[in-house]
Amino acid sequence: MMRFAIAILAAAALLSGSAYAAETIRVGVTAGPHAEITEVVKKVAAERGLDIKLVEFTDYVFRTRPSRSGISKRTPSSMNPI
Amino acid sequence: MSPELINLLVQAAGESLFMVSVAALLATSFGLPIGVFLATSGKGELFAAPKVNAILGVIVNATRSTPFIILVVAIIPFTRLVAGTSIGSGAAIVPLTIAATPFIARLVEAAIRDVDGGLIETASSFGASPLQIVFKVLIPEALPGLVLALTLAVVSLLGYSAMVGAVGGGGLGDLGIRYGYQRFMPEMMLAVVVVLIALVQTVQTVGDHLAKRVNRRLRHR
Repeated sequence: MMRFAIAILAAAALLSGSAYAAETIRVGVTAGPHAEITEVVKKVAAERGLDIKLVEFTDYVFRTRPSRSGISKRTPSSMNPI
Repeated sequence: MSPELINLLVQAAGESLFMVSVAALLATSFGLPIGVFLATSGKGELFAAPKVNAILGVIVNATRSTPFIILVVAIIPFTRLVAGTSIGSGAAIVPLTIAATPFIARLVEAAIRDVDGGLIETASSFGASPLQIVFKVLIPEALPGLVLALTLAVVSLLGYSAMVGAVGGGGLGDLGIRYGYQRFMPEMMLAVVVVLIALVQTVQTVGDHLAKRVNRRLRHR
């Protein structure tokens, strides 16, 4: 189950990353388990050439705010680039 | 503790020092004039302007009564306007400065009001202008109190800075919450608290020492 979750998150990261090829994407995560899981995603993604920078928020709402890059607030992803 | 965790701790300490020192500097440059004005603009005082004084007092009180965490999230659009982003340590300086300015203003007001009224009378009977009284009598006489007030403000800012994790600000307090509490690593929380205790002790010792050095009343004795 855990492995499955990581695979999904990694896929999500790689998909959202393809549009930003060869640059670092910043991903906002909620502190705690979400951040710990995404740290593994970060490692997996790094092996495949995608650079992810994690920004941890102790507040859930703020992390899901639409960013200036125009990501829709409705994106129901736990991996919103910020 | 693993080297990784120590690395995190060092990085967080750097973020804390950056946020607190810049915010303290900015808040002092705004808070000092406001405080002096609050202390000298009452009825029958140097720059008597009781109405402005009352309005400024209300604004200062309102800002001071807003809980810091609410201030942080409420002024996000303003933060973005000023800092260009609302995320990270740099952006966190904006709410920290806004929270600390009225606090410093009130502390400065108290320190200035502590100056012996007889000195002001003496200076004005010698023909000193109100500005001269401020810069040559009030501020030098109140300097030890001002230094202690700023020390107090810096220590409070360190406490405030624990809350900017809500906007990804990082820093020591935030690290303690994120790792110590949310990742169940009590040793990390303890380490953060120990570092903070050391920091506050240092700040307070330096502040006390400086306050003693600038005390004219002691020096002339």
